Amino acid sequence: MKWLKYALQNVGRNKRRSSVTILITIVGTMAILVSSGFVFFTYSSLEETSARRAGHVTLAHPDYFQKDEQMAMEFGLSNYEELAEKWMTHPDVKVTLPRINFSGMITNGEKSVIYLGVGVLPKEMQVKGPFMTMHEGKVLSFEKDAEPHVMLASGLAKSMGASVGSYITLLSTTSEGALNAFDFKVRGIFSVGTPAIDKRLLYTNIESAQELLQTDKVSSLAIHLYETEGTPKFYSEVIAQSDGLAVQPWWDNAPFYQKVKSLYNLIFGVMGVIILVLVFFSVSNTVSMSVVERTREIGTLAALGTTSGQITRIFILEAMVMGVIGTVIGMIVSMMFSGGVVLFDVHMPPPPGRSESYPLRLEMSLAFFAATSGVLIASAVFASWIAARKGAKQSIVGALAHV
Amino acid sequence: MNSPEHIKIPEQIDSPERTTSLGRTNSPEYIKNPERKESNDQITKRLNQKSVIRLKSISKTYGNDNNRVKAVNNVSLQINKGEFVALAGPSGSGKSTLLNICGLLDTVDQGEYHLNDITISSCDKNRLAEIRKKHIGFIFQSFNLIPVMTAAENIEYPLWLFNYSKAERQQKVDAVLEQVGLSQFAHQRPDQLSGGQRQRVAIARALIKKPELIVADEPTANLDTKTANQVIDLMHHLSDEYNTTFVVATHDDRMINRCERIIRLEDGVLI
Repeated sequence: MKWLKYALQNVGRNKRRSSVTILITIVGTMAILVSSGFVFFTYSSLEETSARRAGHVTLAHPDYFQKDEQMAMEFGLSNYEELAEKWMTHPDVKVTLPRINFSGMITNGEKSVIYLGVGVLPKEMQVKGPFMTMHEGKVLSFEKDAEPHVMLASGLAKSMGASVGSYITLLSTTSEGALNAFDFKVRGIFSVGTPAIDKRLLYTNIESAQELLQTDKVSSLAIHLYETEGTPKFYSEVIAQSDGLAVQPWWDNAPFYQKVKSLYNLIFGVMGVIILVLVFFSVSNTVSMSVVERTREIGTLAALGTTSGQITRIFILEAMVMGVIGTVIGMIVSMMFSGGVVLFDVHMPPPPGRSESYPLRLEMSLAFFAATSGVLIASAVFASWIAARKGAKQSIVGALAHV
Repeated sequence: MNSPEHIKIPEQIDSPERTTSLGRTNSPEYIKNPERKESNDQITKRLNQKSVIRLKSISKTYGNDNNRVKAVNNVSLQINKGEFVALAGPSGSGKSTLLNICGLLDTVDQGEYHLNDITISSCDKNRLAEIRKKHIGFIFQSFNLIPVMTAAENIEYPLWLFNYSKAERQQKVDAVLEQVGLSQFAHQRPDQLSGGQRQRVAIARALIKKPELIVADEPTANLDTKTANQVIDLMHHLSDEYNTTFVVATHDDRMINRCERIIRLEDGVLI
């Protein structure tokens, strides 16, 4: 306690210099916490989006992910209901969702364009959580005998001149290679936020899709978990019991997430290193100046029997005090900043390739703050150790004669 | 003061000439202070005391190959427990170097130094720090108080290096502050104290751990006559009370005149 008090007294000795060092530590802590808060928010958002889109783990025919189908549903999954039932008993599983991916031409009688269709269970729209924005109409109907209907992505609806209640025709190749066409009523218009996808995507009921493709198979079975963090463990379990089926975790089906993560890791990693170097040199400068100014004091302490190790420790403690003050204030300011961002509902502009902005959130975690402050304080301690060691080892007579 | 029975005081010790002669015969560096005659009791005390410092043919050289200065040259010296000794001489005579060697602030190039029964030449830096911590107190010309600490904290600092409890430290600090007459200034910082008060704080800091040896470098040089005399009185009083050995490097006559023994140096040799 007495040493800590002495360190505090010394930190207050040259207020301006100590303040600058503490300020740099505050700014450094803030920069790391705010940027990492944004990065972690982005990662978790992309994780959730990717996992919601395709499921945390996807089960499919052994060749589904490896080869191109020559015929529609060539690599389809026939025993999906049995599989769905089996995995629904697992305590970590929230829902199992079969889906059919198909494609063909969509026409309004006057104009035809290519579409990418997804046949899903109507409950998929409810259980997956938000993954699209409804512009008009409703999601797929739960009614068994409802007339065949689709949800069109906004770009596709615009291209077709379709609105809710209008009819369009979907053409596709059946599993046996024949051409088939069905009329569908437009039930809703939505957007997934990516213009390129919005020009092609549509959703329909899985039974309608099976009827169109003349099949009783599905393309894949998506397994959704309660917690995304549990995916690696669950993925291992599924692989162990896959019986030769192809198993894909969400991250293998999320190239955008992987690319963003690689890019951000590099950008913010370099930024973190720069901040560390700044804090290092700032503390190093402060302690070096302090050592020079207090040369005679160092000599006095040594004369009184203080070892060079103890003298070095005094300066390290001072750097630690500045580091702790700086990082704690930095954390508080970062948390206030994070709260402000929510309070004022700050939005980020649409990312490249997307059409919608999204609310900015900063993910603050105590563990990351502890790690950040630990690294910054360690940097400060290392800098002060280098600066103080030399001063503490100088000759006592020389130090006492210092003017 | 009663003489211990096993010390026989020579009759002729009253004669100043014989006293000087006795000093030179037994220890060549010894010069009896002519202005301050020792009483029989004092001589008895000195002779009966065990040596604190024993220097045997020590030398210290500064500089590089082109410009070497022998600051201390072949000095042999013995200082006993309880003695109040002045190291006197002109500037550059080597008295500060000798004082630094005595206080373990500097090392010798040649010769042997024994502090009590410890052979200093064989000690590493940490051991020297340990010996300074336990056995030696320091008083500096410029007081060398730590500016951010109060008077009480400055005095307490040497105790930080020991395992005293806070209550024990506080008790000792209060006692020493009272002895040096600074109780009411305990919570003042050095810049709020006069020169004399600062030096008294420095003396208290040197004394708090009750060392066997206190080395003082020009302790009265920055003080006016009245304050200097007060400081000298205080040092003598504490020396008598604790039987502490004082070695003082000085060319201040006020101090020299009050020392029991004067060791004079010139060009690094005893004269």
